[in-house]
Amino acid sequence: MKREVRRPKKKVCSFCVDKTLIDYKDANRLKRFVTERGKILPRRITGCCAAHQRELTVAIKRARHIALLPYTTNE
Amino acid sequence: MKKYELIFVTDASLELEVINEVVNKFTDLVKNNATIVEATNWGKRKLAYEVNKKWDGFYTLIQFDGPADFIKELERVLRIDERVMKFLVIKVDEKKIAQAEFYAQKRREREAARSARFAAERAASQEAAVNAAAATATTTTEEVKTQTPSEPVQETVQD
Ligand SMILES: [Zn+2]
Repeated sequence: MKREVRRPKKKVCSFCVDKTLIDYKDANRLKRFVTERGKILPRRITGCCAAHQRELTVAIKRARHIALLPYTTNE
Repeated sequence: MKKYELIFVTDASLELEVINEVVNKFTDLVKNNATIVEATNWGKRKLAYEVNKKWDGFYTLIQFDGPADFIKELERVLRIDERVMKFLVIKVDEKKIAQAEFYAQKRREREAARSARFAAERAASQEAAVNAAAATATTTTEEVKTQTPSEPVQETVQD
């Protein structure tokens, strides 16, 4: 009997690929790594490597601090 | 001397004159205690969340080289100014910026090489087309030459 295994597509860290800086000032780019409500997406969804996910988290928190990104949006 | 970055958000509901005054105050403070690398006004922007019941802020970014003990003083002055809604001073990771710049340069070079190769290929194919056209042109004239003796004959026959 054939067993169906749902294998998520192997993700590569986009920051490792294009080697660009993770900039807290670039809110538009950071927006792709938060949910609609503004929560930071987990690594299993962003596909980032541990180092870049950590860097991303710092950048998002900085962006939030200066009101470039929301902490949470409850609507 | 370390590289730092200051972003501060001035209350954009204030008069433009007052906003300018605040921006100049902190630009001068940095200028007098450090070396400004670049100062940029992003201008008025919608805030991602409400701050003191307000939604608009005037963003200013100042990148500078300065001594570590100036940062505390800078932050102190920013904190007590009520016209400043938000601020952030961070130490710039120069190594990371240099690395990113290095790869960006490499990418630019790669792209330039690719477009140069493209242009060369296009020029080569154009040259080939021109040569081919020239070749067919010469063969036709040769054909015409060889045909000329017989042509009058044909013409007379046709007449
Ligand atoms: Zn990575």
